[in-house]
Amino acid sequence: MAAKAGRKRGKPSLLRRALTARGRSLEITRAGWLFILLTLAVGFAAINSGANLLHAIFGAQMALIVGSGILSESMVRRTVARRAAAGEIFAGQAAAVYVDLSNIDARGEVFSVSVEDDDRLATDDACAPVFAVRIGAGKTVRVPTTVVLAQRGRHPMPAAVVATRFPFGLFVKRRELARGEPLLVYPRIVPMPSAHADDPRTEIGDAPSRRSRAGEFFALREYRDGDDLRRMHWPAVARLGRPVVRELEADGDRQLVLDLAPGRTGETEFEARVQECASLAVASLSREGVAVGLRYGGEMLIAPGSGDEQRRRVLEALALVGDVA
Amino acid sequence: MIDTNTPLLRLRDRMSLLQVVIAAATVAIAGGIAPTSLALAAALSAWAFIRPLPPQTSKSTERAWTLLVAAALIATMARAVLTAEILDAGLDFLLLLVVQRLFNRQRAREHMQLLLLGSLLLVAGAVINVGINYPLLFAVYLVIAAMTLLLNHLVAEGERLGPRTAATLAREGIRARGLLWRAAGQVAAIAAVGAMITFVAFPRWGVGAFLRGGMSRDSKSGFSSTVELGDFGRIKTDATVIMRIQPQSGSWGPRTDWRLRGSSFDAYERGKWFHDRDVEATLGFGGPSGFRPIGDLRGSSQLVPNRRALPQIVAVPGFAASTAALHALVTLEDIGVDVVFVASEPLGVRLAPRGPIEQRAQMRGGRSDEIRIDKPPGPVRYQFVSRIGTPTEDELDAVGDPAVPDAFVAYTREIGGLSEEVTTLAQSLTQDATTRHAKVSAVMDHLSGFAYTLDQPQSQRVADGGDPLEGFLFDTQAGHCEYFASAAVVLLRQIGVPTRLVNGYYGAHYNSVGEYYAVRQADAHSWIEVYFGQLGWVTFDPTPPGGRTSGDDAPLWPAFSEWMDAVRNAYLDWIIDYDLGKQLTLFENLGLRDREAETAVSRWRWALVGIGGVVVGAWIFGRARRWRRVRSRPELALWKLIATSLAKRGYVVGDSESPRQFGRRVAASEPTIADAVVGFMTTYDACRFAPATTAEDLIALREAARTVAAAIATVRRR
Repeated sequence: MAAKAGRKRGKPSLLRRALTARGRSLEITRAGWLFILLTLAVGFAAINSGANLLHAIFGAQMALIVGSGILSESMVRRTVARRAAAGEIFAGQAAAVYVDLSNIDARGEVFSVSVEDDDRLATDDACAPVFAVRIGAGKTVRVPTTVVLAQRGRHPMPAAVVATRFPFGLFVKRRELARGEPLLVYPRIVPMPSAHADDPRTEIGDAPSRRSRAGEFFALREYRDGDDLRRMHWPAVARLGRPVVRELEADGDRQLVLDLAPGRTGETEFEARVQECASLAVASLSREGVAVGLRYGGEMLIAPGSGDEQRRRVLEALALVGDVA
Repeated sequence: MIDTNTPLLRLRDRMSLLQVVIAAATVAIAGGIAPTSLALAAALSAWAFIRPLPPQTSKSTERAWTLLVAAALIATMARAVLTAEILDAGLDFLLLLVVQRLFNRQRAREHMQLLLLGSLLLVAGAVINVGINYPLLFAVYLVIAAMTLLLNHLVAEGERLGPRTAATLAREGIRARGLLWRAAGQVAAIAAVGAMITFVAFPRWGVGAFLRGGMSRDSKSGFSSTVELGDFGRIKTDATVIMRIQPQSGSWGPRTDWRLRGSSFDAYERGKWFHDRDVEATLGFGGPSGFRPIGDLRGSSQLVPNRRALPQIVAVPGFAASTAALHALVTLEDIGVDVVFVASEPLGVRLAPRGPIEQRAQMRGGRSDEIRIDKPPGPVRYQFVSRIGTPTEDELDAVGDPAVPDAFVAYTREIGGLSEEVTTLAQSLTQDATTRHAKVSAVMDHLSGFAYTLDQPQSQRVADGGDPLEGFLFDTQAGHCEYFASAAVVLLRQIGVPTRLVNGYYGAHYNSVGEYYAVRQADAHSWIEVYFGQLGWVTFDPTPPGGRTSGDDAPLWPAFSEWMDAVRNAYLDWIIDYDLGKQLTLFENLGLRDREAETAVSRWRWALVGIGGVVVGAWIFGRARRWRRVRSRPELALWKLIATSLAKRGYVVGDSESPRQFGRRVAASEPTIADAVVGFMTTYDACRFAPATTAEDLIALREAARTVAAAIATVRRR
């Protein structure tokens, strides 16, 4: 089931709020309401008629309700869920995540549990629910799903609950899950028109700079995570006491420095520019021989480079760039 | 067609059908469903279950079913109003709904409705089924219904989450069916315990089993106000226990010869016995110890008070055995008639109600010394005092041919509509008899040569429209007790001897398990009573001895039947008829109630306890609302638990102290638990700060927590 972004959730009913405490909430399904009504009717008939076997049926129904609560509680108590990203996450786009559902009980099994977004909270983020039919004692099952996070930046996954309708589908028992570590959400990537991508001089902002004479020694610079270790300049390392690498002339024919004007995170125009930047960066870096850099507010944030690491650096920077209100 | 080939769906289907069959059985066994309705519903249900199920019900089919159900609902309401058969009509309508749902059971929601219908049938069964089969069926139903709910829940989740999940559910669900059965059994056990606790402890404020009994469709022939000759014999093979007698005086053997008279008739015409309107109904008031004296014309009550509360019988001059008495407590099942059975010769009777329902019964005198009762459906309990001694032949001869009082003239009238042959036979048999006893003996001797049989042969005379008694007397000379007794009455009446026919039960069998005497339907019998003046109405039995009792061969296994009857009696007494009185008795026996201590202060104490409970409950509710939502991870919860335990023993975690540092500090002070503490802290660190905590890590942390908690328990507080 794919997650749909932008789904608003309503305020839970008074009954649902009344049946919420200590991280647990209880919802009565339609079948549950029918069962409760039947139980009350039988109890009423038993009291008024004095038919003794009706008392027994009434007691059995009440015990079924209690038993259902005990079983559902044991299911949600035994279940621990952790959600983690399986790859890159782009704002507004479905991203692969996996959910590890663990049964922390050494003896009992877990049946019929799901991890769902907490529908009491209004949010634009959404993670598709996952369902585990059965989790053996002490075992973990990994279930893939998708998540849509609306905004770029560091965000935790949507608040989630472990839910079960086990054993009878009369009640839905939910237990809130602890929020996981925040995830880094890259800006949304949109397909770029070919003119943008093909023009190596296209910039956002000021004049480009270009490095020619590809492959020749250009300068020394600080080592950055992901740099090829064969470019380490060992004499400079020994002299300076810190890792430095040789920077060569650009391998490709073209160099692109994206110049992003400062702005406030969340502002529509700024976000649009960030999105355009990211899209252009991804499109350019996917081509052979194109080095991409990022300048923000006049400062060179990411020196031009190419490859997957450069892509990651640029996207990370664009994910976090912007003044926070 | 819908894919019902998945094992999970097939199993769910079968369980769904089974639970409704069991529920219907609880009603059908009690006779709550007409055989035709049951057969039709069964046939349609079988067809619905066997035929391939379409993936979806078409609109036209849905409309047709809706119209049918609506029409049935109207018919049901009309039937309930016009015939007052509310329960029968309602049950037939429920069966229709079950059939309709079986034909359209594609989705989980529809199976849930089947469960609801099954539970409604079960509730109806609880009201009308008083047999011991009900708790057995109920126990099985709990397990099957729990399993059906479990399976239906899994299927419903598949419908909710999509085909891929449904396929996974179908696969995993059927693999785990053993575990599901175990879970269903556990849930059923919880439900059974809840049922028993509620049954025992829930206060009985109602008026009792107001619908118990009275649902039998068979009215027991022979005890109505009119009887067709021949009907009485049909019940001779029925081993159902209809009466349980507990003698309150004397000792009796395993088999008694009590004659428990029920209905008595004085008029006969063309194969039918009834009451002459000149015979009065008598049942007095104001007898000793609350016993109501039964009609007596001897000028004084035959009962006198006794300090033991059981009245004594006045002796009759010239009747040596006149004081031989039977005082008995009788529990009479509801057999669909309003007759009360008392031993011959009855002298007094009174009700012994066990609860508010039975208190509403009212006894009234019937004609010919019958005792009839107006009561609500259900059993009734009463006591009687009877003279069971019989005069000797010499004593009978001594009274000669006493005059017949005006009140008994009706008993001497000739039976009309019979041929002269009958009168001629009677006169010829008694032509040499000078006393009433001699006349009776002559008739008895003549009938003793006849053959006893339950298969009443029919003579040509009867086939041509003749009276069945004439066929018995002159053609077949074979029949059952009713024919013997009827023939004796008729012959004696034709010669002016005051005689009446009595239908009742002969003999009782001691049930050592239940410690009572059981009277079975098969013990039904007919005999006659002849008026002998001062000696009263004397019993004579013209039936050959071999035909008087059904014997112990009525049930196939007598010992097992006795045990079953005792169990059933206990079930009726302590389950079906469980009332407030029995509840309080049970609590006293369990030591939960001390009657002597129930003073006014104690009663106020309970009120205060109740008020206190409400206050405490409100406080807890208020605190619960202020509880913050706890979202602690499992490892944090365990850490807090251990830290709290150590804090109680004087080891408090410092503000800037890490768990490991704290653990080392505790270990240094408490060498005996050092290993356990350090082990826990290390495991905790690994879980808490690891990149990803697995289930195995958490299980290991739990074990370490148990170990250190056990070790901490041995540490003394500092």
